[in-house]
Amino acid sequence: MASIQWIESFAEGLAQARKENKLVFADFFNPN
Amino acid sequence: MDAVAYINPAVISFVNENLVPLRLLASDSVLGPRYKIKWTPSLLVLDDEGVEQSRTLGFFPPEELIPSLFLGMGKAKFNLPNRPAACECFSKVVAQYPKSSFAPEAIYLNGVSSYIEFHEVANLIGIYDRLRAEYPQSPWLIRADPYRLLKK
Repeated sequence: MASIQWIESFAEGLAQARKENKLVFADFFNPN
Repeated sequence: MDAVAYINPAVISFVNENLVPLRLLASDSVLGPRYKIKWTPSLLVLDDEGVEQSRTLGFFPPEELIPSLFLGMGKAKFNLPNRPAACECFSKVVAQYPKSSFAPEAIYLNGVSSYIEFHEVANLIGIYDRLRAEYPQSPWLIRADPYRLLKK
């Protein structure tokens, strides 16, 4: 089943955004 | 968000295709204060330097989350400024999600972007006319109210 391909490292997310020329969708969440 | 929006096939497809999805703890000792996270879910669109371009607070169902993100993408393009790309995003919000609560804001920003780009007063008048015709209860019509005075 497809799912959102979340990245959990801020630095990795920005690096991927630069690599793919995309914007970042940052979800700040509370796991509780 | 996990139980409803993030398992929706349209949301999954939209996010994976158009954005880099980043999941961060609101309690992160560095990023929480940096982005002034006070409540969750806080959903931010960032550029690739980490600069905030748009933000929403609270839950959205799938049919609102996608236009919300589309609008955020448009705002990021507007800020660059890449107004043609911004207009493309804003237009898609209105065309594809006309019932969304974000459609009136997209009409407003689309008209403003077009006005800045082309310096045609008709773009501002068009904001007012369209909001009045299609979204007469929207707060964005109030924000556009001065533009009716531009009519000759």
